[in-house]
Amino acid sequence: MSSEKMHIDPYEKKFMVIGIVVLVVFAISITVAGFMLGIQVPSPSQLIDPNTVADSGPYADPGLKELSPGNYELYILATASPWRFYPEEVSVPVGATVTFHVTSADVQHGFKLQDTNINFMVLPGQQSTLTYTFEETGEYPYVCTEYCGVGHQNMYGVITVE
Amino acid sequence: MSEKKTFKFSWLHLFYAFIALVVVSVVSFAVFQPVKVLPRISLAPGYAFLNQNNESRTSEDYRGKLTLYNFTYANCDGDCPDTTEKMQEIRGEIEKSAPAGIDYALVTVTLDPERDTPEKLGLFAAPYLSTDNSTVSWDFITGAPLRVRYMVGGGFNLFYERDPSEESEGQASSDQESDYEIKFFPLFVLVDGWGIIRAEYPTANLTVEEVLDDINYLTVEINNSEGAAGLAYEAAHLFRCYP
Repeated sequence: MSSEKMHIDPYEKKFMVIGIVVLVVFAISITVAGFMLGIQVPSPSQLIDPNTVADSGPYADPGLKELSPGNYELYILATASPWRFYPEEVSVPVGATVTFHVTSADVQHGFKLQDTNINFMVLPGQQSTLTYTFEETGEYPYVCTEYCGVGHQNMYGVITVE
Repeated sequence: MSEKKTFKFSWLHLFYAFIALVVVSVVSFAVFQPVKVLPRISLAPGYAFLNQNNESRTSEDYRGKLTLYNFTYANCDGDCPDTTEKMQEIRGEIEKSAPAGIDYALVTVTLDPERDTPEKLGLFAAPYLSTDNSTVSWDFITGAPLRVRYMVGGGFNLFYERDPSEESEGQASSDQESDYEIKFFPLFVLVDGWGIIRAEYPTANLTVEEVLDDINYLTVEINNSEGAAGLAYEAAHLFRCYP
């Protein structure tokens, strides 16, 4: 073709530039999030056998454990027979740092702790882990957020911070 | 149409080529992971305790050494998950086949500091320490109960408690305060010379090969920590190139 420059409308040109910039920003943020911050789709990093999880290991006796003063870990087991979380009531002192470990004994569940950034996909065979510090008193309900069967709506519990 | 395109060199082309080369090499490094490192999990806790010979042992004494920790207590028997025999096996294997030129150390931490005095740990440690002439140092350490709680629970995230069922039984019998069991899950922790936790093994059936593999990853990283090779290993940390 000729070496003349193609005519592009100024508004269209601006629109294209914005589109390219958005693409570049997203590509960089996906790279940083995936490779450097380690935000990845669930991968088999913390494997656990769902057949024996309820019989031995920390999930056989789920609940709040005080590792050291003010520093807790909380094991929660989700099951579909019956549909519930173990435990359903947890009480922690205000200011406590709690590391959540959640897993499923059977099918895929969800775990969402209201008013916090804790929101897991709970997969059988894998542990979901996150740490949160409770700075304010109150009741923090948690619910199953992934449809797991006819008793899905019965899966809920509450963490009381006092 | 018939006009032939001629390529004219410009510095801008060279700049684009350079950018493309950087992007391709970074992405291929992240995807193919030519260098593998153990993750830097978290800082190991600091402490100042006593060993089985009543000598001071602090976390600073293990700077510059690859240190393997395990956790048990002297009255641990029956179905208690005692891992001390496994430590002895690993100690012999480190002596035989671990890379030379690196200092290694083993540390056994008591979970029952109320009863485990340095003297009692000395009796507990004697059969393990006397059977071989290994040069790898092995300390059995104890301290104030609250300090042990901060170190083991807060630093290594290992929960332990007196068995509640045993305790209620004990109150009925005569010797309640001296006879109880401690409940815990077995755990080994590998700490590097900078005092960073690099591997955790929450199992009683740790294989010696598994530990030696991880020790090899660490020694290779230590031996390549200078200059350009060091940068490659830092990049491997950045891109989470874990085995």
